[in-house]
Amino acid sequence: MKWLYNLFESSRPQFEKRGNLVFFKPLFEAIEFIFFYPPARTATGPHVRDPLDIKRYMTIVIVALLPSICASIYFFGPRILLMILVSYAVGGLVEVIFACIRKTEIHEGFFVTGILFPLILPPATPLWVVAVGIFFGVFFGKEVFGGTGHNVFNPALVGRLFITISFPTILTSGWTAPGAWRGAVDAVSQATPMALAKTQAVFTPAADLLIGIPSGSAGETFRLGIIVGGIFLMLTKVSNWRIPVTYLASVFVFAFAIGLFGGIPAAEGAEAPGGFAAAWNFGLFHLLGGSVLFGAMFMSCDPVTSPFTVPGKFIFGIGCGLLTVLIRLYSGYVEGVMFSIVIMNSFTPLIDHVVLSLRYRSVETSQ
Amino acid sequence: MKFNGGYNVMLEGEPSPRVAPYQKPDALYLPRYSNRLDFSLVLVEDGASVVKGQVLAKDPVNFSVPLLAPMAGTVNLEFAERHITIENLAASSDESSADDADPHNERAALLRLGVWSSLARIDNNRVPDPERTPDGLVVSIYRFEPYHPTPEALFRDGVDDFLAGLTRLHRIFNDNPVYLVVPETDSDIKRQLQKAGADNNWLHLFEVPQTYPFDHPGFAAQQLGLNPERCWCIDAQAVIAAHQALEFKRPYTKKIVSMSGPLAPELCHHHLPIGYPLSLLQDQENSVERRFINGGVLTGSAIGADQLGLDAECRALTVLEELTEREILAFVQPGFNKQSFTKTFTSVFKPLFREKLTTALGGESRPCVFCGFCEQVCPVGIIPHLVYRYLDNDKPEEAYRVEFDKCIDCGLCSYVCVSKINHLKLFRAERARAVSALIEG
Repeated sequence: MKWLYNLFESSRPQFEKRGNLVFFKPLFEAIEFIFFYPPARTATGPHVRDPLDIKRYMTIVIVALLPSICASIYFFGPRILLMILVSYAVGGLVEVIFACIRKTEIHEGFFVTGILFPLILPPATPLWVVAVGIFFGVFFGKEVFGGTGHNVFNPALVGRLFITISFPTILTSGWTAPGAWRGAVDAVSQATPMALAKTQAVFTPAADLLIGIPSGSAGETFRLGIIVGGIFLMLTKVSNWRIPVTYLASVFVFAFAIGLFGGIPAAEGAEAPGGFAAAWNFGLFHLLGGSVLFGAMFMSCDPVTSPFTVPGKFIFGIGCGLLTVLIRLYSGYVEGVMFSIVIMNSFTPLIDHVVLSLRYRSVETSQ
Repeated sequence: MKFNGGYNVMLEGEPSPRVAPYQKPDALYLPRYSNRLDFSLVLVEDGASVVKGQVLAKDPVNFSVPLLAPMAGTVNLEFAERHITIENLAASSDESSADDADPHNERAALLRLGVWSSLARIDNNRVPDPERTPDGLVVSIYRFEPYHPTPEALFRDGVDDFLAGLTRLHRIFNDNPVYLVVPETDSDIKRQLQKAGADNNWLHLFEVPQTYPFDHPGFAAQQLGLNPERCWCIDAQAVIAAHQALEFKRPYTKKIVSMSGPLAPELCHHHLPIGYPLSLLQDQENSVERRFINGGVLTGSAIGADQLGLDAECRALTVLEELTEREILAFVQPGFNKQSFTKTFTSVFKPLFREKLTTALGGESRPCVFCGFCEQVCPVGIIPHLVYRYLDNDKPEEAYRVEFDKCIDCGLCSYVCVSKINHLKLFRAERARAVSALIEG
């Protein structure tokens, strides 16, 4: 690695003040600091620091996503890799341009956004749509708010929301059947479990959902891998368990309750199923079906766009769960995860404000 | 009792309880400043002969607490800036008599003999007014921050002097209660203190888990429901000194100082006079760039090259290696030798070990991402990143509304921060601002 170090050292003057490439200093530093950590020392107490930094923090999320990434390539072919590549390239370009203009460092949050975005798209999404979506998501979802740490909405979800509204046909027809690319199944496209449930009242069995037999967004089909990745994130403390667990629990509870009170849709002419067992299966289907697991484990618990107060996290999780079930059952859309998280993102500042003012009310009144 | 948060930084280089002999110095270099004190009023002239225990200077801001001569010798004010140098050290046993103090006024005697400056108000850590009396006195026998003197070193001659000192302070402070912070683990010293607690109804033992910073007097005061503005604290060593000052008129000029850290020349304690040359404590042959820290590794302050001797408040010296190497692809390394508050390094599969920490920041400074680690680790239950945001936006009144006043400056929030934000620095600056506003107003 000595040669690489020397290369950085010899090209550094170009990027310093009065150098020809001073505009690209953030890019130079970002690349340099990926290979060689900055020689930054503590100045005052605490004189020692925890070795975890934001790069490793974000890398852990990518590690947790590995089962989903591998499964998506297995199910939908190498074009998923292309989608990831396009997402990183275009999103990274936006990030770099903003950092260069602002003369700040390039922030690592993008590494997670860039991989999450292709994983929540239909597997047949055209590459140019991926590019447009990630551009919109990073630009309007993050940079205009001031960059990582200041954004209100999850940038990957902003990008997907934009695609959902701008290119509705892709979101209804882009559902490739898993394994179709290598001829493992006959059908090329396949309706998602949520669409089947909504239009034909057909509920995919839980076992199929877990191993990823039915179609869905690129990263959401192999649900066992999502569960493993999510638990890994919680065990490493990188994600806080409170939001994913309350989100998933409330989806199940609300769907179960609606099922118990006769809210299970039935196919035309058939009698609506009822009873405890049917409600249980209905709850389980909503818990495992669609993108609830992926959304709960990797999107809802994004610390920047979710409440930081402990009661706020529970409220956020319950709100996401309730909205997901309501949108799925009583709106024109088949899936409600994206909308529910984005809507709850917008409530995040309010939730924190209310929780904080309740928590510190006693302090105010006593003074 | 609720013990939330807290974290033990596993630093290599724990000092042994042994009190090792030290090399005799040729001269003493007494800094005219220390963490809380500023001895700006010099009372001796250049070239004057002084005897042991003589007042060299006073701190006019802090109730004229004195800087005392630890040994007899000749004063040199010119040798080093902001120091009082004592040369030609004499081994004579002449001592300055404390006759100028009223024998019945024990507070005056503690002030005159250099013990009073070891007392601190819990709310702002300042030297308390000798005219006032605290509602309670908090004494912590063990400091969990890596590393402070261990009770085994402090109580090497038994706990009798310590208990006698506590009794005297208790009497001086209108028979108000004394709270003793002791670790949960069993030890011979603790059993003796427990017995004393059972015999004296004014002595209360407060047991804490052996986790930093539950030993902090400010934490104990909050847990015990004491008013921090009206309670004081003192370290165990000064309690012994209080007894010796009142019983034998012995000035408090020698302190047990722990020597610790990965680069300490010897892991032990020394009983050193104030002004002891720091150069004699350094391993001259080792050329590795290092940092000398006055105090523990979290809350201590780096000793600059211009400071020549041990200052009046120093209790611990920690020596760390300065970071010089640049790690390659550190964020994807397994990290078998790195310990973290999180479980993001493979060292979680290994039993707990002491780590050779350096002054590495461990990453780049970034905006807060609300990961919440600072809140998880905070022992007093505040939200450090929220307080930081308010103070950073120049809204101190908002910071106090979210209970910034509970903060005990333990520094753990800065230690765990993934964005490498230094909360402690800003919190201390705000406290200094508030204190100076208090003095001026």
